Amino acid sequence: MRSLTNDITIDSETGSKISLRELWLFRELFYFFAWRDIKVRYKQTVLGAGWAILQPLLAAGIFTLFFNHVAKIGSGAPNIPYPVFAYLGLTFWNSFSGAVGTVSNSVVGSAGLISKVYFPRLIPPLAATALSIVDFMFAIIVFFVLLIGFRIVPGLEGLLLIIPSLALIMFSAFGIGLFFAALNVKYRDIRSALPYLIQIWFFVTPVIYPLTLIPHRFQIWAYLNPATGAISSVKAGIFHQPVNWAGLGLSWLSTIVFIAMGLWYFKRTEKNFVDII
Amino acid sequence: MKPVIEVSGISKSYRISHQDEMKADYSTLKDDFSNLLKRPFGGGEKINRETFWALKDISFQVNQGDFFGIIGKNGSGKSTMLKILSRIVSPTTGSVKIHGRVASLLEVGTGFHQELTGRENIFFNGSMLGMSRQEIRKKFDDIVAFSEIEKFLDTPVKFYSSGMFVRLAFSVAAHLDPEILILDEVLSVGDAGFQKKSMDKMLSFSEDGRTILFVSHSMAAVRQLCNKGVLLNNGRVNIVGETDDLIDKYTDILAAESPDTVAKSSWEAKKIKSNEYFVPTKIYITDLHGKKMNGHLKHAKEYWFCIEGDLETENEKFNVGYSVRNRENNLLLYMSMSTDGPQTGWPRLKKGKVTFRGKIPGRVLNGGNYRFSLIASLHNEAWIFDLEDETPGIDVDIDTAISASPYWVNARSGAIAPINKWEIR
Repeated sequence: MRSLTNDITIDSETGSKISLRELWLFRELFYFFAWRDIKVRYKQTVLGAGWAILQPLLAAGIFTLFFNHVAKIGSGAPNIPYPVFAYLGLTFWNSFSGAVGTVSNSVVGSAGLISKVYFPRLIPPLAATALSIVDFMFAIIVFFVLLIGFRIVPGLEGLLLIIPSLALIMFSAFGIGLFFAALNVKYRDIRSALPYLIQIWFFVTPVIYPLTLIPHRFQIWAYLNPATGAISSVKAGIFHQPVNWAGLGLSWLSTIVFIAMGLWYFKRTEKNFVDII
Repeated sequence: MKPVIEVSGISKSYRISHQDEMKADYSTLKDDFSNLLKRPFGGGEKINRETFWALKDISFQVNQGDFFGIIGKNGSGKSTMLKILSRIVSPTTGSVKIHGRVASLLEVGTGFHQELTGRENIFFNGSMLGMSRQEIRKKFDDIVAFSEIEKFLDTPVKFYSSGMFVRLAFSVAAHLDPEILILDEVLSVGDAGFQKKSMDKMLSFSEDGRTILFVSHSMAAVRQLCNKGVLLNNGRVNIVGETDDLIDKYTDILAAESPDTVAKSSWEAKKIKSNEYFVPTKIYITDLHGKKMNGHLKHAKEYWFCIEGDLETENEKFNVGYSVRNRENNLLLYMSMSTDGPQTGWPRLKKGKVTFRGKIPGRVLNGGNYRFSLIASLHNEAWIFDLEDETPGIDVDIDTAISASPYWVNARSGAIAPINKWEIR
């Protein structure tokens, strides 16, 4: 049996502090949560994990057709094929939007569990984040196939930046999602509003267009958006362009702010979840 | 004995809105925005919210090895108490100290997912309830054997019958190994055979000296299982103590608050058919010591059925008795003074106040609700209060704890339920 100690005290302050020790104790439950979500997601689907690849692939195809061929928006450099450029952006963007979405709905989605069993309430958001990482892993493999297909030699800097950028995406999505997850318990409007917010976020992030499309003096502010930092720096590194390290630093700073805000609001409201969920 | 659970001064308040009482207590952004616009500085008309105390200043202790019941009617706060003890909701004030590894079961099958197979659900649910992966692996075969669903282990549970689902869910729960177990109405699941297995599991758990906290609506179950408990009423502690006292208090509360739904436990002269022989004034039941009963009788005990009244005419054939009808209004028993003895033993009665009492035999009536009605007649000559009339009577309920057999949840089959002797040759 899992138990923190043999003595528990329950009072009005219960659950208002983050206990890393307790999270560690419940690590198996976290694992089972993530495992269950992955199993359930791909049950009764024909393509299974193929969807993780097909989604960015189809989107990249559509954007190539309409953005690149019709609207004449390019990748920012003649030697970078637009489909590869767009696909790389979309794999990271899908992980970000997917994680924000699933984390935001994770608490309300686990209402049945939360109102019947005790476990650290941070576990469903954490497991939801893990789920997006799995999807990313499938999608990035196809990116390497594309690189070979288009005969592109990726920059070493870019390859080394893939994992840290994924981390940046996941941390920021976790922080933002956490805030919405807690807000969603009180205001179900979040569920309806979120898809629009994510859509707007998509267009202000240089996913399918190069950052150079933004006037130079505003570019640094675009890095306040962690998704910009992650996607622009990986793209720059892979396609042999200079990485904006200052911008990347700014993205990490804002991620820390997002996480702090998310955790603060989540923990502050956590003990009332069951009363109003 | 060392207390393993110490509850001190627990209170829990909720805010309830009178604006729209049917609505759950979560608002939309629109509500909060429009309220903000209406009174941007917090003044003016407030939303009509009221603080409701689901629990108020609850204190009690549970000792190691207790089978402790939490009883009370719906809305008494017992579910809230259970949720606080399970760390699902936090109290507004007060604290609980728990010494020992706790598992709490507020329902069977928490976290079961329809799309997952039986095997997968055992792992997820087990982990949810606090078992480690290693522990689940070790007990896996026992869990499967206990649930009797071996053949369907790799079928998604959405294809299970509800019986199979519940059996599997309970099996996982039954293999928890805590020092303190908190239970909520998860007992009466499955068919009779499975109930017996679950029951044995519970009892063996308790016999190991472990502590069980138990909430139930079934008074029979509480009486059979619990040695101690707390009675909650309107969010406050009514009494902490022995189970029998608790149940007596509880039935008093029920009787006082809703006389229509609970047995009418005595009768006093109202409108009756007038006659020249006997005017009954009071009808009630007492135990053998003469203590008035409140309408709840134990199957195994004997009681007195008492009739007070005024005898208006002396007649040696005068006869009183009682009849027992079940809920479906079938006549089960007919008992009267004159039919139960020889004519020489019939009493010589004098005019005036008189009290008759007749035994209600133990170990005859099955658990359930009955109506005991007055019978009066001139023996073999004429009815005074006959079997067909709406005669004065009282409602009684008899508990279902008929024997020491673990089939304790429901009444037995059949109209009556005497205990029989069995021999093997």
